[in-house]
Amino acid sequence: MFDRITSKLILAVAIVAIILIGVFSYLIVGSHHRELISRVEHSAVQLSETIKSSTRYDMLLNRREDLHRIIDTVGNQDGIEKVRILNKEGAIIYSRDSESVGTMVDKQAEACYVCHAEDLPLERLSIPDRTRIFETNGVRNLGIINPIYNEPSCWEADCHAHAPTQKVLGVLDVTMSLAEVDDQILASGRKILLLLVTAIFLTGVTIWLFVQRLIGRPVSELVKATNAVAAGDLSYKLEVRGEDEIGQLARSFNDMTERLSEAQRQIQQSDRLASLGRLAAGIAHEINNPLTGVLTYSSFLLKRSAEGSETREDLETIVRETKRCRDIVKGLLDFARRVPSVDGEVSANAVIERAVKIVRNQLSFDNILVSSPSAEEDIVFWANENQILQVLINLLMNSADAIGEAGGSITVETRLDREGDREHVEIDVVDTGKGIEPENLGQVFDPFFTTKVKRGTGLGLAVAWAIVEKHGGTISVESTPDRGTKFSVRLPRDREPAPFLKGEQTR
Amino acid sequence: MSALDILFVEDEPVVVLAARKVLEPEGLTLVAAGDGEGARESLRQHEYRAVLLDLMIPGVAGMELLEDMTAQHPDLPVIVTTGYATAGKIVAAFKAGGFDFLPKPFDDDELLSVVRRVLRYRDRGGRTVAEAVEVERESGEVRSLGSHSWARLGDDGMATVGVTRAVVESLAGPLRARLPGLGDETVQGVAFAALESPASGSCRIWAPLSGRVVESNPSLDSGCEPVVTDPLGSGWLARVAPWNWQEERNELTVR
Repeated sequence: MFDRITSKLILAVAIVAIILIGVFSYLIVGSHHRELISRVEHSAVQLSETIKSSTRYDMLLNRREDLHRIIDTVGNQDGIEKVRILNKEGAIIYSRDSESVGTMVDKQAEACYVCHAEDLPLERLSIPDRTRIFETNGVRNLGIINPIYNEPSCWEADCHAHAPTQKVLGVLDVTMSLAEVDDQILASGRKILLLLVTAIFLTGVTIWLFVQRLIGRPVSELVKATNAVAAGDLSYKLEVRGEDEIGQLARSFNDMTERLSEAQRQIQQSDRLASLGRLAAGIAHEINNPLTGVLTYSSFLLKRSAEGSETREDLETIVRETKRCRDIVKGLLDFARRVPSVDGEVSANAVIERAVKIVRNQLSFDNILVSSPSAEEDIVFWANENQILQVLINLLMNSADAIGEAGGSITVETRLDREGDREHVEIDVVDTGKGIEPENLGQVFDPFFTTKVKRGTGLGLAVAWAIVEKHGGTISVESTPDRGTKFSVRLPRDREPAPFLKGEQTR
Repeated sequence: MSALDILFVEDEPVVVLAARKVLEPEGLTLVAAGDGEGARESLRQHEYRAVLLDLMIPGVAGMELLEDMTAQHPDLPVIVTTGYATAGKIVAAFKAGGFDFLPKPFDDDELLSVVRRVLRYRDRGGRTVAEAVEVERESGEVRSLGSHSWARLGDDGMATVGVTRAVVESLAGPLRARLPGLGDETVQGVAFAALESPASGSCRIWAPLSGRVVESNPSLDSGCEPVVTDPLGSGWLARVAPWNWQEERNELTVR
């Protein structure tokens, strides 16, 4: 179902989505994390300050039970792990965990190192430096230390517990659990992962649908068409949908198959003519010997038969019909004979004018109006003038026959086609004759194909075809029955001397 | 031993029978040879006045046999015939020394006419092909299609064409010329004119070059006297604008 191009596209899009959403999520989760931590930090500082200020009075009066009660009450709130008070020597003088009271903390430990750098006495400490995050039993904690500074009221109190020279009397250490914060971060991470998977899935499906519709199907149709053409079906046509690149591709494909099938038609015609040439040689040799026998005997007998006898009439028929056979075979040989070749610059108008003049002499043109191109439209091209003249004569005679007694017009038009890598001269011979039936259109250039009742050998258009082909050109026909026919001759303007063509013409 | 009239080199029995049927009532003797070896053998054993040679016979390439015959028997005129008479073959046959060409299928008149002409030519002294065309004294290059027709390229690029004395000598008067019309096409090796007389029948003139006829000799309208008296000069037949002289001249014999 997923063809290769679709899967590749989806993979590419997925990679881009993963990178984009991943970076984005990393930044979001990071800032979310920082915000949550700073909120916990803030509340820890507040808590720490609350404990310090609410115990101040009891401390001044050295009422230790009251002090303990306040700390216990505050410290029993959710999320608070530890509340401890250390004296300046590091001895725990109060803790919710009463067992540790009286023990010393290690001043080298990480928590203490912040203040007691290199064993120096505790000095003033900025708020961010008071906090630390550490892990116990797989749960992250935030610790905050709050120094209790010496004040005149402390050393002036009745208990005289502290000397005025002391700067710091002790430290209030509060530890809060980060479990809740970590849970929140994990949850938002999961949400983002879900979002990522959903996004990739949805984009994948969307791309698949689009690709399938816009590329996959047309491409597979194109593949099918290419296979059909490769298998020889040149009539295969692609449906052209839209003007996008795929549409243009389909259009070019159709154009290509059209040209291919035209080229194939030309090649087939050329093959037919070549085999006709070989056939002519065979036929001429095989048929002319028996025809010689028939013709010699019958003409010999004809002279010796009695004047006015029935035999004489029969012999006359035999001689006449045998001579007709001879002319047919001779026509074949003339068709296969070498054509004298001399190429040069040909004026389209001049050669058309000559052809019209010659045809006028041979046929009754009284009822046919012939229009030729005007003088300023002349095109000069490189060709064998006599052969081109022959082509035009054959086309004009064909048109005149198609028009017949009824009368009509023949229009000869010339055009210069500058498209493509070579310039081409196009000469159209358009008549208003009886036209050609669609089923006969494919055969008009075949030797001996004729619809004329009396006149013509059926070689005229085949000869025209062969000459145009020798010039590297093409000849095509369009016709509507009862409306008329258009023959279009298309010749390269500057003829490239192809060696094999030259060889053929000079025998 | 007197010479036999015709050696017919032909492998098709019906053609030999038909030829015999036509020629024997005229008092002409005809011997047939069915292949190249038979032909050579006959020429060794007998003297003939003329040969009628089919180019497509078993055992030998007809053109080679023709060349051999004209080389070994320079006084023996050969009429070449074939069922596959392309212009190229006709030109090659004249080049190889053939006296005339008779394309198949022919009728009795055509056969009789060409045989009579070749015998008349031989009996009048029958110069060999090499002698058949005299050197022209006028300017321009003269070349001939065997001993049959000639073309001379003038300074204006137009070619004058005519027949050789050999053709004239083969004909018996009074002649009438059938000449091509203005604008007609000539193709080297294709008949473009004819010389006719009641006694000789119609003699096709094979064109020595391809081109378009620009003029036919107006002095021949009233009779063919110039052709008979001066076939290489005032008896020219037509003037032709050549299409491809540079290539076609190679097929012609230099005079």
